[in-house]
This record gives sequence, structure tokens and C-alpha cells, in this order.
Amino acid sequence: MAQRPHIPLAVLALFIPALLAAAVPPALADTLDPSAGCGPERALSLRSPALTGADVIELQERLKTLGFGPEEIDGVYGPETAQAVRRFQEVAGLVPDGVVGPETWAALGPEPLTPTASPPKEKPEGEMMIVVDTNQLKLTLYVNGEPYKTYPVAVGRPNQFTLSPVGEWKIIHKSRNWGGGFGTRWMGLNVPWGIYGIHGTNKPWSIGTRASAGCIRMFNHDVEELYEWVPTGTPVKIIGVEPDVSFDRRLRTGLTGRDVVFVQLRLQELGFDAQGADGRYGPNTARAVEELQRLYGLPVDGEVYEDVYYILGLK
Amino acid sequence: MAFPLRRWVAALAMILSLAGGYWYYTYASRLIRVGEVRIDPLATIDPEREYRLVVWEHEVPLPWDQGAHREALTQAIEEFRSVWPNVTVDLQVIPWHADHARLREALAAGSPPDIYGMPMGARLIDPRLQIPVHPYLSPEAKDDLLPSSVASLSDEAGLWAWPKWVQPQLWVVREDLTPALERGRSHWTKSELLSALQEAKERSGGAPLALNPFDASAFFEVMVASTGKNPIGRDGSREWSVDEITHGLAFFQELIAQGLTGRDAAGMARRRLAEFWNRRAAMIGPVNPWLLRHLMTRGGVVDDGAGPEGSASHLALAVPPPTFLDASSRARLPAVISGYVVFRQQEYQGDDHTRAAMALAEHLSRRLGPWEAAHLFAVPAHPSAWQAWRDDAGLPAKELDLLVEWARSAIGPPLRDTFAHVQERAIETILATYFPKLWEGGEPKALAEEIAAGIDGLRAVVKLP
Repeated sequence: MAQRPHIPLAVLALFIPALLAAAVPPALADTLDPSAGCGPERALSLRSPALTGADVIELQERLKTLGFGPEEIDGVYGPETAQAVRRFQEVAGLVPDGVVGPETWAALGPEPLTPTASPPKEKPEGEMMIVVDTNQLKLTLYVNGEPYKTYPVAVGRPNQFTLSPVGEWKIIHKSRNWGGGFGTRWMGLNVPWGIYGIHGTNKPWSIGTRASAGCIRMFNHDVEELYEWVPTGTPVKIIGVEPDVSFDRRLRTGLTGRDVVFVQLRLQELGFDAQGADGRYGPNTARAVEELQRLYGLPVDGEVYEDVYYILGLK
Repeated sequence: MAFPLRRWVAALAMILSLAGGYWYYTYASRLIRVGEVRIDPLATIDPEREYRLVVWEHEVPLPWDQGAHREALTQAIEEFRSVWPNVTVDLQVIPWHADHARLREALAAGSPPDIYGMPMGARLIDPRLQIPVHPYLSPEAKDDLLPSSVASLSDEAGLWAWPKWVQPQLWVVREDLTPALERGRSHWTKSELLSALQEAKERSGGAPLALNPFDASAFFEVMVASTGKNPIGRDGSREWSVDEITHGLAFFQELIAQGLTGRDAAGMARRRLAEFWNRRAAMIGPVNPWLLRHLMTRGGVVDDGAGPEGSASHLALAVPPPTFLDASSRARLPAVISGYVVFRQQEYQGDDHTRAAMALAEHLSRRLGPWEAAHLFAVPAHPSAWQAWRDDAGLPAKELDLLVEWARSAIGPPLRDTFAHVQERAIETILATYFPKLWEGGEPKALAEEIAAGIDGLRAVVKLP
């Protein structure tokens, strides 16, 4: 049997950030917050200083669920966590080195064999849109405005920095088999302040929870199906849990950010067509703001200054 | 005895003149001349004939209740059609910010709509095709119209639109910072106003009057409230004298000098709500109906159904624009007088068709008037609808009473479209250019002369678009 070409994981890990960044238009690359969104998966081990982060919390939670400890879920990869990892690795037949890489993650929980989404259907035809409800932890594919299929997902952890990005996005990049934390498929979104996408997972137990760094995780078999159905450019609307956003800066054409998303969403709620809520303050947003300013008798300049925030109900 | 021929002729002439007089008295005298057509207003709608009426209506955007206006409009038309199923209505909704250019084109082509809704102010646009509505008013209907609405929409030839509502232009005060102003919401003198603003300044530490100097409505409203006159009169003349304009500008100059309004025009224009809600400003102006709705809702005056009855805090209260007078009463209150105008087409469709158009326009004004008025801080033009309006407006009784009081002293812009257009241009260009110069140290007298000259220049050159 012919040997399949094998790319070392370390090499792949080097390329993943570049590939993810390629999903973002160059003009916006400098606005990216490298700490926001889903970065490539790193190997966890006992180090000095200790590793911390959402992935450590996720590991601790899973180990605890499986009965290996640690007692405290603190997001710090300390000696107690390392010991719990080694205990698990011994039981799982892995080398008990305390290093959590793809093999350990895979052993921590297999993907369920039974389908968790509504029954598979034929590839749909028509205008597609994805809605991710971070309250319900569900992703629904709409075809021609009608719900077609719903999948369980994991969404961002409920803290200010890891919430999934509420807004109206588009799939701008699709890739297969990055492996690791991204599972078998990746569909990148055009979120301007970080790297976010819909992807598979090597932590299937997390589906149905708030566990990610903001990305939308799906079971691999689900994301593989969805990947085949939706083209690049498909709108993705993420609704639900909203972060606390401060509305202190004056918004104008060219700016991006979470505050822009909420201004755009609110404009649309009030009937001023900003043509989406993608976090980019472009001409459509400026026109919608001008229309609001004209209606309410405010100075018309297309910028979101303090009184505009008040009218929008954001202050 | 033979009857002389001359007597026969005389008798015949008398009979003919009597018949002619009777004909004139019973028929010809009631005909309305519109262009080259004479219209009988007593013609009736033929239930056997199919009519198609074209209605152009400006949308009234209600961000807090989207789609509701179109729904109310459609419902009102359906109600009419339930009585007159032989009337088909072709409704075309025009964006709220669209001007009357499309109508003017249609008039030039001789094919205007039958009914044209003018929520932001009805006008006499083209007497060759626009049909006066007073011959279609029953005596009861005549009595059921707010006199200020009739006065604003009439000239010597009659009433030119079906009045819908009257919307006094208002400003807003914070109740907690201006107790003196609150007590005298109908009448206060200039010195009372200055003293109340001074008190508010001491309480808040900010400039108590938050203005948008770039919206010349502030100056326009104070001028009309003080002089009782529009800048452009009903005959197209300039109504404001240089002295009056100087007085108006000097009033604002005094406010700036005493620190009663902000000195940074651009900053203040964009921070009026922030200052108001942060308890630094006590009075805010100018305030259009949408901004007023925002202020009243946030201020707890409008009962939006969210809280228990009577829970409104009444923090923000509507007041008439201030005057620069030291008399105890104001002259008039600037207002928008909304209404429907009715046109005939160049190819006249008949008196019964006109009658059907008039019936629909009257129905829409009565049916939609109270509904729109309840959303836009206006007063329905039909007092018989006031009870329904009071029930729907979500405002305390005292606020509604004041609105009615203000609507009674309302004055709309000039009736004729040309003059109304000149006035609009005067506010948007001349006043908007010179009023903000007060914040750059401009002298009232010099600015007033520039304004007067600018208005005169506009009167000479402005042509309808």
C-alpha cells in the first residue's frame, strides 16, 4: 500500500497562521488583534512561566469530567494539571509525558458516531445563509430564507475576549484538513478584528458548550457536509450573547471594530439600511448614519458622534 | 283683447332671465373654475362606474414602529374601498426625504396624481390643476376644522388642502433644572427666560441651552415666535425687517455672552443630547418631531407601555421656542400644517371622478390624521378626532392640553409653493450661513443686513426646481 505523504505537524503549525491571515483582506490585516479569535492550536505542557488560556481551561474541564482532575479550573497549566494529564495518558495508552498534542486531544474524546444534527439531506439549491445562535448553541443553514438544517455547535467562552463575534459576516476562505483544533474543515469569516471561522474539532465533547476562543466549532462530519454545501461568500449571521462594548470613539469611514458592528446592527433595527453589520465603517454605513442624522435633525456628516450614539440607544 | 307683440317679447325676456338667474343660482354659481375646466362640486360618485384614483403619499418614517405607517395607510384605503368598492386606489409611497420634483414634472406633463399627501406641509402648488377643497366641505365638516389649519392652507380663493394635522415646532427642557420654565411653559418673557437659564447654569455647571447653530431652524423658530411672521409673506414679500432680525440675533448673542449657551458651535451641535442627559444642559433646541419623540420617550413622558401607568418621570418636557420679547405673551408658534391636495389631470376625468378623489382625500385626512398626530406630537386638524388621538398619544393630559393650545396659535409657512420654496431656501442657505457667524463673533446688525439682503436676492432669483 502506498504511503500517504505526511506533513510534520510542526511544519503545518508554522503555516496555519499565515493561511488564516490570508483569509483577511490585506487592507484590514493591520487592524487585526492577534489575541482575538481562534489561533492555531499549541502543544500544552508544564513550562515556566506556566501556560495559561482558554485551551488550558478546556483541557482542565475535560480531564475533570473524565475523573482525572485537577480540582481547580483556573486556566493555568501547573503541576496539578500536568499530573492529571499524565494519569490520563497512562490510562489511554499514550506516552505519559504531560505534553498535550493532537494525539492526547484526540484521546480525550471521540466524535459521536450517531448524527447529532437533523437528518442529512440532499445538497440544497438556492440562496444560502448561515445563522449561528450563540444562546441556543446551534447553527442553522437557511436556503431561500427557510431553515434547511440545524447543527449543534460550540461557541466562544462567555468572557469579554472570547465571545463569538456577533454580527453579519461572510465566508471568505475555505480550507480542508488543517487538522488539530480546526478539525477537518475551515471556513474563515471576514471579521475585521481577529481570526474567526466555522470549523471542525478534535474536541468533540465541547460541542453544545461555550468552549472556543470565539470560533464556531462543529463536529467534523457536520462541518464536512456544510463545507460542501455553502460557497465562499455565503452570509453568516451570528446572534446571541453580546460583549460589553464601549462607545467612546467617534466613528467614521475606514474604522473597524466591535463598536461598528453594534452601530450597524442598531441602524438596521431602526430601519436605516447599513447593508450589513460587518464591523467595517464603509460608505453604506456612512449613508445610513446620514439618513438618521437628517431624520432627527442632527448635524449631517455621516459620522457617529456622541448624540448619534444616544439616538441609537447605545448610550 | 289683443296682447301686443311687444308685451309678449317682454314677458318672454323676463321668463328667460328668470330661468337664467335660476340656472345661475342653482348651478353655474357653484361651479369651480380650475384652469379651463369648470367643476361641479355637487356631482356625485356613480356607484355603477369604475374609478381609478392615483395617490402619492410621502412615507412617515417611524423608527420605533417600522412599517406601521404604511399599514395604517393601507388600512385607511381599504376602509374607503369597503364603502366604495368601485374605486380602485393606486398608492405610491414616496420616500420621506424626497422633495416635490416628481410632482412638478407630473404637473408640467398634465398628469399629476389625484391626491398628493404632504405630511411636511401642504401647499398651493399649481392653481391650474389643483382643486380647492372648500366647496366639498359640508357645514359640519367646516366646523370640525382647527381654525389655524384652515387659515394656513387658505387664501382669498379658498381652502387648498384637506388639513390633516398641525405640528407646533417645539423645544425641550429638563424639568429638574428649569422649574421656573416649567411653570410658565406657555408664556415667559425674555428676562424670565434668562433668569431661569441662569438658575439652571448654577445648578448644572454647564451651558444650559444646548443649540445646534448649524440648523437655522433655531433662529427661524425664535423669530416666528417673537414676530408672528414668516420671513416670506403670503404675497412673497420679505416680512422680517432688518431691525427684527437684529433683535433676534442680539438675543442669541446675549445668550452666548452670558454663557447660557455653548461657545463651541461645532462641539455643542454634536453633544446636545449628551449634555442634556448628563444634566449639564437644561434646554435643547431646535427639536424636530423625531428628536422630540426620542427625548420624550427617554425622558419618560411618552408612555410606551413598558412601565406601570403613571410611572413616567417627566424629566423632559416640550416647550415652545423662546421669544426675544419682554412682553408676557408670544406672537405665534411656527408649525407644520399637514394635508392632502387634490389635482385634476389635463385630460379631465369628470366631476364625479373629482368628487371621488375629494371623498378619499377627506377620508384619509380624517382617518390618518389622528394616527400620525399621535406619533409625531401633532394635533389632528379635526377636533372631533381629539379624543381618539388623546387615547393613542401616550402623553399625559397636561401635555396634550398644551399641544392643543400651541396648535391653536400655529402659523404655517407661505401657502403658495413658490414662496414656501423661497422660505425653505432662505432658511437652508441664508440663515444657515449667517446665524452660525454669531459664534465667530459676528455683529447682529451687520449679520441682519446680510440676511435681509440675502433673502431679497433669493426672492429675485429663486426659481422652482
